[in-house]
Amino acid sequence: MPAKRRPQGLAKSSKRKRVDDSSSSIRTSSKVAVDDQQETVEIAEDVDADDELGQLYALYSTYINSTRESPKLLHAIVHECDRQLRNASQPLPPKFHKVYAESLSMLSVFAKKKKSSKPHNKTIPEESVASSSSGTTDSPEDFLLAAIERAEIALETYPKSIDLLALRCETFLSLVELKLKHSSKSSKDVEGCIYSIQSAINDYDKAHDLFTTLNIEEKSSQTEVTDDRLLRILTRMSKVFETTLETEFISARCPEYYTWIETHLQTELSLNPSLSILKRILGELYLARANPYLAISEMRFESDDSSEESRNEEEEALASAQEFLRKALLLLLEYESSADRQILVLIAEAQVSLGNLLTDDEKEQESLYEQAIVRLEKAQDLGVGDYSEMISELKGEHDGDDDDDDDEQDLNDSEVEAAFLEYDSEDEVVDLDDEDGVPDFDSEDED
Amino acid sequence: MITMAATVNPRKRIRSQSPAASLASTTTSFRSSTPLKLPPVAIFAPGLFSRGEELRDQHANSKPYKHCVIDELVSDTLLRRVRREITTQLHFTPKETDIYKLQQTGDLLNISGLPAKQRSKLSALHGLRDAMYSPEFRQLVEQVCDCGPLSGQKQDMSINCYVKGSHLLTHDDVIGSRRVSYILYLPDPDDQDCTVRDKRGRNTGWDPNWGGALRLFEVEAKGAPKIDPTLSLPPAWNQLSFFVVQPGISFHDVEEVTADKPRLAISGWFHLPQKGEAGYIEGLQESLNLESSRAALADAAANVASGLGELPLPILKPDSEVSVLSDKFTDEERKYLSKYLSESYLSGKNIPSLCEEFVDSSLLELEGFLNEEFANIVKTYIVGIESSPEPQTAAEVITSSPEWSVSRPPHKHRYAYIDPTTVHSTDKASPIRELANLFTSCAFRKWITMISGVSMPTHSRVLARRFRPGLDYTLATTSLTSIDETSEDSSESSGLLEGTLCITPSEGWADGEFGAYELYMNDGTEDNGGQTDVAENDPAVYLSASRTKRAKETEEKLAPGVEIEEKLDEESDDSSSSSDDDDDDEVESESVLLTSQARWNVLTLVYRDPCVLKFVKYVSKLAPGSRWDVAGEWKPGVDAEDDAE
Repeated sequence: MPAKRRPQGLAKSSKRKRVDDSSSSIRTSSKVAVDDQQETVEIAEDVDADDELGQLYALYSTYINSTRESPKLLHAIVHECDRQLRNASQPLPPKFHKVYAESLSMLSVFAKKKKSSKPHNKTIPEESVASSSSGTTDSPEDFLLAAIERAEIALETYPKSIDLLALRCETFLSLVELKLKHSSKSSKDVEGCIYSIQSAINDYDKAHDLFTTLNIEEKSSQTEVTDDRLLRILTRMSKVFETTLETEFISARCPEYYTWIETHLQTELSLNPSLSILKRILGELYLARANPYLAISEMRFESDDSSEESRNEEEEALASAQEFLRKALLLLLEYESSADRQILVLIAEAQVSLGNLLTDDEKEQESLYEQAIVRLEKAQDLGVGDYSEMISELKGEHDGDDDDDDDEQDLNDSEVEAAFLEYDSEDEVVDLDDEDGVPDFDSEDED
Repeated sequence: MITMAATVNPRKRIRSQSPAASLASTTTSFRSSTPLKLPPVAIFAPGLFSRGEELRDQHANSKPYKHCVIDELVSDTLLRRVRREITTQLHFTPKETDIYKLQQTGDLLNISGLPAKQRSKLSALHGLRDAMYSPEFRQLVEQVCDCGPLSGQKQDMSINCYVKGSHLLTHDDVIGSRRVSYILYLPDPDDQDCTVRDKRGRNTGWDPNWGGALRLFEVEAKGAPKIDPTLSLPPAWNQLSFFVVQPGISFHDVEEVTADKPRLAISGWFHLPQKGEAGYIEGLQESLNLESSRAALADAAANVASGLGELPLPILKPDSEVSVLSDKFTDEERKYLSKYLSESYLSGKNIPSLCEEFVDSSLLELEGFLNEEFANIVKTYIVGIESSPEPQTAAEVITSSPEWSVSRPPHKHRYAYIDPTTVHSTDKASPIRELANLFTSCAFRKWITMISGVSMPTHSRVLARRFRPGLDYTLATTSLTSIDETSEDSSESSGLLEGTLCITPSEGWADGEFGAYELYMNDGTEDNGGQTDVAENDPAVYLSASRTKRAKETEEKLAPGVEIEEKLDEESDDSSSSSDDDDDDEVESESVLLTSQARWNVLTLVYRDPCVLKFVKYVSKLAPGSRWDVAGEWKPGVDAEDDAE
């Protein structure tokens, strides 16, 4: 006799409904797309025709091993997953949920970005649009969110599934990458990333912890996750964090993220010293970490604010920028390899940035500039890019004055302030309420 | 090369300057500057700093708890300029939670991070902010309040605009390192509709009849504020009110604004000295927080012991006759239910499909729940009561009808209620009490068991409630626990069955403008596997159920300078954003699970997960009447089948 059904609770029911809704809207488009084409997919593997799950996995495997140029097969997989889920009389295995969630996640690549009020947003080219002729408007975010929710539901049943945790972590990362790529860098857009970043971190940590408890045999039998895949996730995270350093909002609000990634990369490096690519990844992270401090420390060249507080802040920033640049340089130089031409530019950047800060040590500054010139010339010879202008600047052949506009802006702002401060005097207390001599802010303020 | 680098340094990075770098540059370069370089004594009203002793006396002798009102704080000219900057340059965002409804700017700390051009448009405001946190003014506040040193570094200030319908319910302001709360009022000093004058014959800019007063509550014991406020301080131009934040003591609210006038105010807090500041004591904040939470528990226990605890009791009591109940109705029970319920909800044909729907969605909204005959009786009765002005104070409620009481404490809820388990002295039960009795009956418990698919309830609480306009509300809470449930049990509780029969006869509630809606929301712990995203799942915050056209218009009228506010928001971070109430941003609408507007004769049945918060929104003074309902909460028993699982 089947167990009596009970209500799950308003929150749980609502969550389930949201997932059902999002899946069904996506489903509609997939069904149309598949039906319209009436294509037959040839499954590579030999699977029992009565084994529905086996058929599904084979379909999935066919897509994974294909060139992945079309979403049609993914639509079919999602459609089939949905059908099996609805007909299931007993819990489906974690692999099923993984296939479902991953297919949804992969569909995001083909989905069309929703029209945005931000005109600078890029859109995916029309020819790779996933949505069908029915005109559905599921965006990449919709697919990723549906994938996350699918993984989330599965994880309620299989909380220790390394595959599901890794998949959800990667999907959260995709969501963050998407947001960072297509949004403006304003904090409002980026704020939505924090939850996803935190979730990705949590999932990675859980997956990693569970994975490390397995012995080699268990690793191969119990999960599709590998050491390489975990490392790839970590690398993606590092790149995400580098991007977030362009946004003061996240870097100021969540400094612990950077400590987290730094610690993880260092640990991996110490456990796998032969994996020299980790040095480059960590070096690039340090280079990015120096950026916010570089911006602050450069203000000392540009600002006339000479208050003690300002000076202290600049000194601290200068020290931090130098520290990160030196760490970056050390790792990047250790990694430097003829097989990686891009590294020349990265190292040159670190050297120029560090050199710019060393105004008290002309010798080291000169040396860094010279080393940078050598690398940039080499990079140019190897066809990495055109660095001739930068090389000329470093050689002192060109005195650019790219700050002219900023200076003018500052001057205008100063003028506005000066006009407002006409009555200000440090020696004389201004009585704003002195009826005989009330400064008339109103008449001055109109600009 | 050194010379070049030291002047303009043409050797910038190879990558073009990133947006973050430019943002960091503007933020940093101006952080320590103040455009309005006036000394604090010139910003404040003449003679303020010589009034220390007088203000100290005023503070020491004030009641119901120590507070101080300075009737002229700032130079009038400067404050007029500040007001103009606010009304022309800042954008206000409407915010609505269980505890407040108002419009607010971003954190004023963020003025410093604005580009110079925008910042210059807020120079007076910037100057005022810095002056409020200057050593001179802090010293004055410290002297008046005898509160010890205050931080100049941690500035916590924002602008609130209370428009018609805005309010802030009772709270004591205790959060983190807050030491002193303050509010500086900026109503329109030239408002010709205001006939109220100050001591010097000047327009105060605000008529107390328009609402918007800061009201202080006397406590009967620590943590037990009286139901009704004891002191009302109406806003007035250039008036500063402030008080020391005292856990369990400094309860206050802001009366709803009822006029179509913007009640502008700058409000914020002085905090304990921060690390690196004079007066900073390592671990003080943490120890005070710990102490106050321990004290709150001890106070709550003491208040219960001395009869000052929460009413009605926030617990589910065991139901009688549980063991003798069978699954099916007896003829007598069916007859009893038929007296009240519509036949369609008793029909054996309909119950299974309703049950199926409930099991799927954990929600049923049954319109026309009461049969026509009894519904008419109830309606006539309520309309009759509403034809007289509603009783305002707790004393008036009891005097007007002894079967009603008023709930307490007001920092959790305030509403008039009938508890059907209490002894009823009059001969004939009122129709509302009859309904409350219905909800407690065995027959009704059987009915909800059938319709919900849950096991027979073992514990319950039923109340008939009236939420009066301008007075009543409940703040967000999680489910009740049973009287015989240990805290361990309650943490594992599987949920509660809740039924609210809304019997509000008046009309005009549909858009939620007048509050009175019952709202269920996720507290975030369920969805995120125990990890709550602060911005998205703050339990105190939810999206406004209905942001009306009028609110939008007011917002637009107040806010031509949208750009600046966008910047303020961008620069804001959660730890520093502020209002007189709580530090919140709006959340994704997904966290709201159900909004049930006040209406006539609808039973809303919910199976509430432990992580779900619920509240009834404050009923506006401008509402067409009271919200009336009968609310039942039932804890399902554990049957053999569940045990086996």
